[in-house]
Amino acid sequence: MAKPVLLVEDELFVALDVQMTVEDAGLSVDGPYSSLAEALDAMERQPPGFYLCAILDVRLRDGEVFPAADRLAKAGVPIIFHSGHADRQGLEDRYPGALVCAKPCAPRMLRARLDDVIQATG
Amino acid sequence: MLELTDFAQPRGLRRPIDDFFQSLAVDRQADAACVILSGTGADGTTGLRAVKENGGVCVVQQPDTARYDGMPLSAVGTGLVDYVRPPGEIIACLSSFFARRAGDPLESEATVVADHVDDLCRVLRQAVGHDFSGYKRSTLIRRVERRMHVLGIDSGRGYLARIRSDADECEALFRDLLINVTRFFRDAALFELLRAEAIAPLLAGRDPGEDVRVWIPGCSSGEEAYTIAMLFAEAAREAGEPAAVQIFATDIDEQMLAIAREGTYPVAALADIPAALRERYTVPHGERFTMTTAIRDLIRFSNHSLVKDPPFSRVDLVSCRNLLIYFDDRLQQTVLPLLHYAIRPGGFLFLGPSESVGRFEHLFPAIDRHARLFTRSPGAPAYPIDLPGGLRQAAPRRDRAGRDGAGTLAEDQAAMRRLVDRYAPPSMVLDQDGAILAAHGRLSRYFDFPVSRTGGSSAITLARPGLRDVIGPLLRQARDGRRQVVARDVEVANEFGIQPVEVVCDPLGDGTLLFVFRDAGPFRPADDPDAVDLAEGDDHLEALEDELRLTRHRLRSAVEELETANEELKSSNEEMMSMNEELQSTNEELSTVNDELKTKVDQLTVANADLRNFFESTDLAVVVVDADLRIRNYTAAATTIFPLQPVDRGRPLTDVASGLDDADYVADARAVAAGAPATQRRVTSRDGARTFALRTLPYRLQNGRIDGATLVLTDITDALALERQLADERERLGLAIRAGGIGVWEYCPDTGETVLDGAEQALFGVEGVPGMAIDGLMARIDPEDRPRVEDALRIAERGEADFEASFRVLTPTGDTRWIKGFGRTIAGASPRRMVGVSIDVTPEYAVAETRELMLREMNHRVKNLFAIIGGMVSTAARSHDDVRTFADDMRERIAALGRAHALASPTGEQQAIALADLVAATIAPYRDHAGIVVAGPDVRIDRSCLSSLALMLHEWATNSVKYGALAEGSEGRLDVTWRRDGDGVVLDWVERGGVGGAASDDDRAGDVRGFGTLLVDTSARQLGATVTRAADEGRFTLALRLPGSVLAHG
Repeated sequence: MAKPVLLVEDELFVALDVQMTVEDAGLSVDGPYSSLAEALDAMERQPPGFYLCAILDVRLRDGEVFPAADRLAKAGVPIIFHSGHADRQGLEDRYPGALVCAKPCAPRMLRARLDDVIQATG
Repeated sequence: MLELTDFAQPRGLRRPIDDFFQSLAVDRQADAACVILSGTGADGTTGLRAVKENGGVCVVQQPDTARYDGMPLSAVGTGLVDYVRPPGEIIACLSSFFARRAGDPLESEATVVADHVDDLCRVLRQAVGHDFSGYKRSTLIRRVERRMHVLGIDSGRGYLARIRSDADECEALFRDLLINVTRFFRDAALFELLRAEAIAPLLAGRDPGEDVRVWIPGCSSGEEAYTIAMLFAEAAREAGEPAAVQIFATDIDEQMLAIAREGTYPVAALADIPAALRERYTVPHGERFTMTTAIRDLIRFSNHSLVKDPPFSRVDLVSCRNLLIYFDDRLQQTVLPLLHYAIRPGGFLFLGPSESVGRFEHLFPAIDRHARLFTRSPGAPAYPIDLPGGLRQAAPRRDRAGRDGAGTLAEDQAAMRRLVDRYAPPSMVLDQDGAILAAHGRLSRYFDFPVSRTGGSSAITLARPGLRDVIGPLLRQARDGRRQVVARDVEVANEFGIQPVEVVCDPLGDGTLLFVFRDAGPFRPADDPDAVDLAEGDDHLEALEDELRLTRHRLRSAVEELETANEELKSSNEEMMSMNEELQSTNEELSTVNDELKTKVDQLTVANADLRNFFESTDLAVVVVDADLRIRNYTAAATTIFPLQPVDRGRPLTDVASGLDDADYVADARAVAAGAPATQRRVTSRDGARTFALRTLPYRLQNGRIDGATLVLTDITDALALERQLADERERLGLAIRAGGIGVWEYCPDTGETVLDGAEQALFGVEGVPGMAIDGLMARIDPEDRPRVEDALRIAERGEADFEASFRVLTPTGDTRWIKGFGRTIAGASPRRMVGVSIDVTPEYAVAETRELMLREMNHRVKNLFAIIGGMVSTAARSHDDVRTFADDMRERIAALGRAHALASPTGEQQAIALADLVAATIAPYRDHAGIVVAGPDVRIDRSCLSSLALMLHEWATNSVKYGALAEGSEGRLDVTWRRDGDGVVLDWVERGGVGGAASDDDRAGDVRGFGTLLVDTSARQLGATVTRAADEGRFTLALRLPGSVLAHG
């Protein structure tokens, strides 16, 4: 069984859409988690490197996603930021190798990013 | 080195030029040159002499070119001036003189001159009557050379030619030759010796009835004469006797005699006189002093030539110092016997240190050889037969003989002379009056030479008794008869006996008579004492002769006295002349003073005119009053305040009406006139329209005394108005600045100092520090902004642009304050200064920040909506088959979202939306479908929950339209109510009497193929809400429980 994709998104309609897109790509989704606390809690239960990759919204209702992103980056999990107010440059500087999809994002684009990750992890 | 001293003398006695020339002469000797220009009086004349004595040169401005010719004329009068020139030529004249002197080879010159000295002397003697041939050659040559330098003549022959044709030059040479130097007490020790050895004994041993007679030949300017006079006076004073002394001081230079008679000398000469004498016998007049009258009266100055004129006789002391050195040996040998003749036996001769009596030691045995003090040997005077005056004839003859080169003739003469002297009988040549013209052979047996020169020249007087009676008759007979007359058996008596002689009188062709004495028998010695009786036993003729001789003697005395009186008259005349000169110089000074006064009057006239013009033209109202407050003067402007008329001058100020509203000015004027300091007050005109500044000043006279007061009124109405206007302006400006919270600052770039007003201090948070250094202020500025501010300041300092900068200031309280500053360098200020203002723009910055934040928020919301819509589309697409339905549904949902969002404030500030509004907006399209009741407390929900809640309600509403109470044609009703429940809210959605009765929830759900449910569930999850559905008996109930987090707080 392939590794799941961690989905953190506080807007559930968007999360549904993304989840469908991920599942259409033949991958499973862990989440969606709509808050940082839930996301951190979920990651706590899993060993590092459990996730194939992570699709993260930046601004959550209880704060920004960066503590989770830091932990993922440390574990070498590829990250795809999916944000409406993304400071693309700031994110890329902070997490080298991370991909950024500005919200609203065309499903095709997200799919292409996922494919890139899958390709990269082989 | 020139040292200046202040004048000590009163005006009119100052002689600065004399003093300067004397100092110059001593310092520069022969290199001195003096120039006398225009001026009154006789200043410079004495100094000129000093310059000349030391061998310097003298130039005088041509008197007719001088404005005041007193000084030039006086200088020219000395005859010592080398050049008289117009002012413009003086410099050139001096340069050429010194150039000539520097260029001359002196040795060759000397020989050139020496060849012509004799000729020069001869010419001089003919011109001025004095013979310098007996003067020392070296001195003569040196002085002649100087004249040649002056004239620019370089050959002796040329000078000789000049002197022959130019009487003035003769005079000039004469003066130059006579210049000599003399001083008071020259060789003081020697004079002391003179006093002890000669003066004291003379006074002690004098005949009570007679004065001591002193002769000072060559007295020059009189110092020596006064010296000796003082010594005599002092000796007499010590002995307690009157100064019975008569001093004859003689010279041939009348100019020098004039100085001597005046008896006035520069004060520098005082040093030569011993202090005791100085105090007693001199009267100082500042820079000069005069001898006292007592001393002056002891001396008689007269023009007399030692060489040419008959000597004085029966003199007790001759002081002849530094005169013989100018004479050559031959002349000295002639003069000494003359002096021997003049001095009575036992008298004294006092010579200069470098002079001696030569081979006449037997005439003058030395008392003190070192001091050159001699006494006259006793015995009868060796009568100076070869009178120096005889040279007058002899010299040319001798010269002529020399020039002819006839040696034989000279030898013949010698032989003839020898023959006459030794082998011929004694003889003499007399003129027709019996005066001896020539004498040959041993005549002493027949003649007795008495003491006086006048008597001595007459053969009759000189003849010894016996012969005396004969000569007169013989002379007369031979003269009248013009033939030879012989007197036989003449017995000549002398002290020792009687000699019988034969006297032949032979008239010569030129009117003179030759007397020849032949001894007619042997000499009979008178060895018996009765010889006296014999001599006395004279006949009547002898008695007559005696009487005649007595008479002559008296006559001689009378003549002498007359001469003396004449001298005195001359002296008086001299004094009168000098007095005249003084008067003249006083007159000149008066004319100078007059000129000065004229100039002053002119200046005063101008000053007066200036003052009058000032009074007439000035706009200042000035009133001048005297000590009694009477009006002295006023300006035209003053008449606008005081109605003054010209006749009011002299009226008391109090009597004059004034246009002022009070009369304090009178009190002021009175106080100031009484000596109070100047006052100032403000007065207004009676009508109050004008205001004046009244200054009351003391009126001071030339001597500083206060004599009245000056009232100056200045109209300051306009100035006051302007001042008020300025004050208003300033107040308005200040108000504006305060109202605007504008801080004003001033900055001096050179010192880094600043001046801050209160507002500025507050802006920077440095209250109470009005002058903080710029560095301190900079430290307050946010480090990010600091370089920018500093740059702007630097540019403004250079005046390139005005200062303008916005920056953040960190206040001590930790706030950040936005400040905008403007400033400008003041043009031309020194030191450079910049003035500007600062404004607090923090609120403006806050608004801008908020707006930016809002824009970001709106952007986010829009993007979020797009994302939601995108998600809905994707999700819905999976559960719809029919595109039209899908599109319609989506269209409705988006419209619902739009309506819901319209509730949210566009400014974004309102974060809360009333639940009632949301419900109303959601079901608004179906309002007419059924009876709808919306009720509940005022509950506001958070804006972030808006979309989810709106979608939920929309879904319920559309379901109701399709299946429930809101369906078309149904008569159902919908109740939407809510209530608070704990911290949350419970909303009840109740439908009644829908289409076909109460449709089950499942039906509905089936109809939407799950998407509507998914939508509602997802929304509920999103909100953290729970939904409970219930359907029974035509009633469809939905209960939505919203948690507290959905509600808006605050």
